[in-house]
Amino acid sequence: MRKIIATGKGGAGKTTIVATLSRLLARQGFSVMVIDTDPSMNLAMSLGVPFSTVRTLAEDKKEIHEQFYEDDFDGEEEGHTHSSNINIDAFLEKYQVTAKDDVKVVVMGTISEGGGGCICSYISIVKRLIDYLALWSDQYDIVIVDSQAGSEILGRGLAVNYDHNLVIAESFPKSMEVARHVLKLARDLNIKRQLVVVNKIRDGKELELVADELCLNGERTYPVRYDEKVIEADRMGSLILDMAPDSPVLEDIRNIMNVITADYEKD
Amino acid sequence: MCDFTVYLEENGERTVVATDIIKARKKDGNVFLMDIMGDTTRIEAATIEVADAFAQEMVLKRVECN
Repeated sequence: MRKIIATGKGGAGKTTIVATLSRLLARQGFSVMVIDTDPSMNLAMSLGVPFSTVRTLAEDKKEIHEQFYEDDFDGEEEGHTHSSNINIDAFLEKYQVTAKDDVKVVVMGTISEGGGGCICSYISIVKRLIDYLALWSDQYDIVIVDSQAGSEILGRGLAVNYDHNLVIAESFPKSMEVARHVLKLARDLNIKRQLVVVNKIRDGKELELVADELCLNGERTYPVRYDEKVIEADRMGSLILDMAPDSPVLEDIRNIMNVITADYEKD
Repeated sequence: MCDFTVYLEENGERTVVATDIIKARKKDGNVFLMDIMGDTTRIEAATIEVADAFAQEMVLKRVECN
């Protein structure tokens, strides 16, 4: 099972690119799950799934905690023992919903009350869920994590040894600053490949600007052109894939998909 | 991340005994540590000296057996 994470500054376009990429991959015959770890939880809607139909992992934190972290602690000798299996496919039935092109969506969720603490434990659950899927399920070819804005998610170690980090950036200083930090943290986590996706390109000069500013160390840059129809689709709760299938944006995201699948063939 | 790197302190020296620990329990004179993947590490004849969430460190000490 391949693992992809999308990172970058808020508003850079992570969710739109993840939603579109996941459906394009599914159309290529891959079995795809997307996991929304952004507390603003827009991914399901971008994939056309009404949020009211989604049960988030956070809603059942206590129950999941008991299931994932049961502490019988009955080891006989000093040292390390491995946890037992759980039926991950059965577990997922409660939390995954099906979007267009048969993409499955899981939403992490967020804090439900003011003063309710941090989201660390939810991220732990997602990390464990993905590790379980990789170890004990053959349901999915690819899991894509749509991360919360900023670089914090990588500080939490969620994406250790992932196959790809899609760093979604715009050619603005603030966006590039986040991208620079994300690239650094992802290198620390041994993510195999980083693709810097320069989004909302208007005149083509942005690609070079971003590459120069980020002092890339072997990472590749890919353009996604600006198209007003992306915003229009978003306003209508739709995706560019459905509203304007001839948009240049789709050509660009298809190109990124081809790079990713070619990388898989190389491995 | 709000998890702990756990050290065992013996003879004035610290050794890392577990990482990514999210739960610790004292049981029958031992300390059981569970990591983010649910894997457990058992440290015999030990007690929890400090759990410091800010530093994300937990320090265990050996307990003298009578």
